[in-house]
Amino acid sequence: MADTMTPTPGSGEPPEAPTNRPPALHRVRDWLQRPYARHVMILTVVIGFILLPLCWLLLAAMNQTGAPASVVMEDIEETVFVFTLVSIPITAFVFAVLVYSLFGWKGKSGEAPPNEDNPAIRNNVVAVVMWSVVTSALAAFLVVWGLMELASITSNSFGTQPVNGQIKQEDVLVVNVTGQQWVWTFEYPQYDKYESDVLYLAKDRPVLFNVTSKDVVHNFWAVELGVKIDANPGAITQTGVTPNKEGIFNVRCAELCGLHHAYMETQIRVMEPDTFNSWMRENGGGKTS
Amino acid sequence: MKRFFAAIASVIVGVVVVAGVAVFASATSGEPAVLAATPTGMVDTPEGPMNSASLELQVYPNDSSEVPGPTNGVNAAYAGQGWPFYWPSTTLQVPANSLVTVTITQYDSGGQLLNPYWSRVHGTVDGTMTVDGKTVSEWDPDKVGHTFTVHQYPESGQPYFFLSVPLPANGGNAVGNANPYVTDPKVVTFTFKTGAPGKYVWNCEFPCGDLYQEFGGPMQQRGWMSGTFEVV
Repeated sequence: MADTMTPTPGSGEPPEAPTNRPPALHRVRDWLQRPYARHVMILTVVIGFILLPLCWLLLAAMNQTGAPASVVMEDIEETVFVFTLVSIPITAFVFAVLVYSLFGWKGKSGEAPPNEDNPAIRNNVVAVVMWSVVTSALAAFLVVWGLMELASITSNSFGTQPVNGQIKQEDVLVVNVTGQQWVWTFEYPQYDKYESDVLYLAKDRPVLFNVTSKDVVHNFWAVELGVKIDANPGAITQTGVTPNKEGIFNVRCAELCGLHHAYMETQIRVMEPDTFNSWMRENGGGKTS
Repeated sequence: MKRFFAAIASVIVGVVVVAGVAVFASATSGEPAVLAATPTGMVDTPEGPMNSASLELQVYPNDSSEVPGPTNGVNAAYAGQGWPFYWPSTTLQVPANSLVTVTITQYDSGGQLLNPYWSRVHGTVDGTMTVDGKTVSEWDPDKVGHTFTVHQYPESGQPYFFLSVPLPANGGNAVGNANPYVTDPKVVTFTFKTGAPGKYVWNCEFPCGDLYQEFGGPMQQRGWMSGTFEVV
């Protein structure tokens, strides 16, 4: 909305009398100087600084299972961090308006709010443009970030559809994962079909998981590797990952599957490739392919 | 004043509801009493002398006047339904850093395992068990009655522990015609070593329940085909 009307040349109509309305930027500045606007801004900053350490604590608590052991999990954690960081100022502003609305405009029952506190800014073009642009930019940033991370995760997981198991890498370790109430078992078709209740992997060697279930729907969740995929009876779902850290990590079931669902977990042991091959040979999994 | 009393009443109602839920959950718990392994003295092992203990369990195809089966808590409602069960308890306790010998007398019939992995012995000394005195490391996956499978409990800091033995099946006709149980049950014995204290769960991996995939009923209720296994 224009602040003043300019007469159209040659229209013959008399020029409209100029109004006393100040320019938009002046009105925004004037609005920002109002007590309630200042209070909301101060509250936003205060709540933001309170939320920041709380979010750090929350993220740290979520990460109690240990540091990521694959690029996929690093991408996931980075995304959670960035999304949390971006959401802090927005959350703080919403809470600030909420808190000020509850306490700053509190009146006795039946009283109308005082006119001088009337905060309507819906006709303020600059304010409307500001919040539209800022929120759109944030949303666009999150969408772009999410798509880029998704592309990275997908490429590191052999894609969403590894086309009939035809993987490009030659040194891929294939592991057939079977979920059954309430234990995971792992078969290594390249190692004499060696079977184990512990998931043994080699560091920096890509792994292809063929996941299925013998009874109900389970969900194969290799926590620190960032792998989570349904295990469906009568079907094989595929995904992959490349562990990049030695150590002991966790497999859990992420689909409520019955009495001992909470106990359906086991270990992942990631070792150096030579150690992995030696271990397989010593435990009856002589390499055949 | 009216508001004050309404607030107090709300708090009281909330406390009563929470307490009621807790009392109900406790009363209906299906956890039987603890069955502790019996100490049997010191034994020599390749790692040196160790404490030893023994534990005896039975598996029955259904309850009877001779063996009542689980009746604790909510399990009283399931009596007489013909569910198989481990006896005399499914809440097991064994000593830490010991050599534990378990004897399971199996009276039930069986069939085919969903996953042949459970037909093999895992986690025992030498990876073997004895069936009626004969040492074996696996059993025919088509003739398994039940399994005794102990696995990890999601609690950090305790040692990893995994143990699974198949229990051979008795003939279906023999079990069906027996009154109340077959006179020549399969006797399975196996020995394993325990480490530091820890809490685990165990369950049967043979589909011996009812409903979907025969993993309902006794497979989904503590006190029948599953329980806890604590190393103390």
